[in-house]
Amino acid sequence: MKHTNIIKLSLLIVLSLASCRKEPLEVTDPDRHFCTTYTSQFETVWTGIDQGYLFWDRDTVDWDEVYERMRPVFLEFDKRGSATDAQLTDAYQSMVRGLLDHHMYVQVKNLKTGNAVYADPAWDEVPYRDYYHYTFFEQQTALLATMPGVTEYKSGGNAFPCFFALFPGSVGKKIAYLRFRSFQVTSVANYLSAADLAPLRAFYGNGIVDGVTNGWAGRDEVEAVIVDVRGNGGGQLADLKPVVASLSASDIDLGYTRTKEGLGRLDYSAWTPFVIPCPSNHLWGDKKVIVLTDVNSVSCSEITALMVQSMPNGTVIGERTYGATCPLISGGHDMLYSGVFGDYGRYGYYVYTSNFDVVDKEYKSLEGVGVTPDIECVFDVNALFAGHDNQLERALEFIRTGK
Amino acid sequence: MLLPLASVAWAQPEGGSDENTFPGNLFPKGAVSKWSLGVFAGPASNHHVIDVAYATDMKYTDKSGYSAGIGAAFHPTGWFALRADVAMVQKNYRLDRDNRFLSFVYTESTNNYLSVPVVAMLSAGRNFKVSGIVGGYGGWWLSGRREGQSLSVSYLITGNQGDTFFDEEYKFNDSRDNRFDAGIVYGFAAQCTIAKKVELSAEMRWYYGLTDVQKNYMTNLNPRYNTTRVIQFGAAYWF
Repeated sequence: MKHTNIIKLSLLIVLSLASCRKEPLEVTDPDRHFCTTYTSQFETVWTGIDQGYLFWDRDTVDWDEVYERMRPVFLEFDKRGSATDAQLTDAYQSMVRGLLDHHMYVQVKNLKTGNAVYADPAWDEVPYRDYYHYTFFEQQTALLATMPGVTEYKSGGNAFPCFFALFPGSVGKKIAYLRFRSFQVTSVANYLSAADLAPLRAFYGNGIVDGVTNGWAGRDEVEAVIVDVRGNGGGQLADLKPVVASLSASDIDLGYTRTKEGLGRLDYSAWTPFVIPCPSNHLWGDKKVIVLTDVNSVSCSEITALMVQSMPNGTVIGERTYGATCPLISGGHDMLYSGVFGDYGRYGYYVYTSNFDVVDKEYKSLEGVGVTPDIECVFDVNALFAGHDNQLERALEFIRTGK
Repeated sequence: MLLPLASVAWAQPEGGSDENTFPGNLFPKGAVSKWSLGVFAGPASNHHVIDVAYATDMKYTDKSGYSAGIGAAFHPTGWFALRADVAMVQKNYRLDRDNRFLSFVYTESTNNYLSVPVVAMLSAGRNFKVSGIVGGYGGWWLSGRREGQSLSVSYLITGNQGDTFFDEEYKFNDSRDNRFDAGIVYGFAAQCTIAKKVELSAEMRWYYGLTDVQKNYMTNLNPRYNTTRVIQFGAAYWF
């Protein structure tokens, strides 16, 4: 009987211990949530960032503290039954303040006024850099055609602002200049008119999306190209191969990328190589490639700068870029449980955020920092309105003199 | 695993007392051997327990591995033994994506644990014996490896799945990974004496983890546990 009791006791202990596992939590999908109160809006946005934000492994914001600190603010809005747009903006800006993701913005519908309010963590950082300035895209491109020695000047239409020009280079040589407002080349190439595409075709030739073919880029008299991404807000990753990698003599190895792999803050996939192949039909060779950057160069523009910086024939000139170096795909939350979530029109909230972490070969991230140019040249607004684009002139000087 | 030990007590011809008699008198009087040492190895299969919540296209499946180790047992009576092992146990699993855009994405995780199970073995039989096993274990997540395919930025640019592969040693995240492992062990064993002091055994046991493999690093964290089934074949020597 004593032995039987021991066996029974053992089984009882084991069965009791087996029930010691924690129960799963009830987790709602922040991508699709109808919110009827300020507090539920806040909690949904907080949860979506909690689960899907890409940089929790290195972000210094205490997200749990944010919840404890901000939830009473939204409870108070509900208690009062209203919040002004300014109050709601302040609350969300306070919520995301300090987050590393420079792609991020939060858009929320004010339940009382019906207006959209926005919060953007980068907006607490970028404008406070001592070299920060607005974009002067129109003024800079208007000046382009009047600069000394310019030939073959071409501009596209409003559908896709794009510019091409040739500048005098070394003796008997020319310097190509290319500028576009956003990285939409591979998509617009299929439907824009020949006139709209004239600047792109002037440089790359008719087979734009196939990389450098029969444009000025393939001619021996062109010794260098300046790709001007100042004020360029980014765009499609697909552009990087034909537009940028075609200017490299070999595949470009930028480092590694990863995504989220679960709903835990630190659930990450493994790192995979971030290699952008050089198109096989490129004609550029080892001629110089200059990228002109400024503080308003964002996302694909910054990856462009990284790509060119990694080329032996590449140089980045201008200003440290915006710091949104980690790309995203729209609708990514359904696939990757990270990145963009919400639907402003349907649910009254929308959060735009990255879902691909990017690091260099030493696993260093530039998110929130930006790409530092090889040659710094800060924008001079007074020079611009006096008829000089000091950054472009610095790039031309570098090509002509090597200094 | 020294499973055999527990059982061997009865086989010894000298000494012992009625204390060694299991209900039903299955054990003869006179067991004298008290200690045994053994080795064991065999296949393992791990079940990674996680609630994926709304991430329903994340499919975790069991993955095989191995278990191997050494152990020592003390036999105070004929029907009871207390055994402690030092074992390497793999707790592997696979994650697939049931998503038409990500059907190629998967991760196979190989995780090596050093486990120290301490179990009680309750045995019945003579030359061929059966034993019940129950106890607990503590352990340490020694190392890991991850292999698979992941959605990469390169793939988005090139469409080439060759840009999605990875195979790397797992780098522990001190904030997330709880490398301490503990839980309960249960199972059963069959032993057969093949020589005076040598016993062979076959055993099936389950390592039922009670420690979350993650630290409690965030508020709304769904726990993850491992339940590992091992089949072990071993040999033990009696002293």
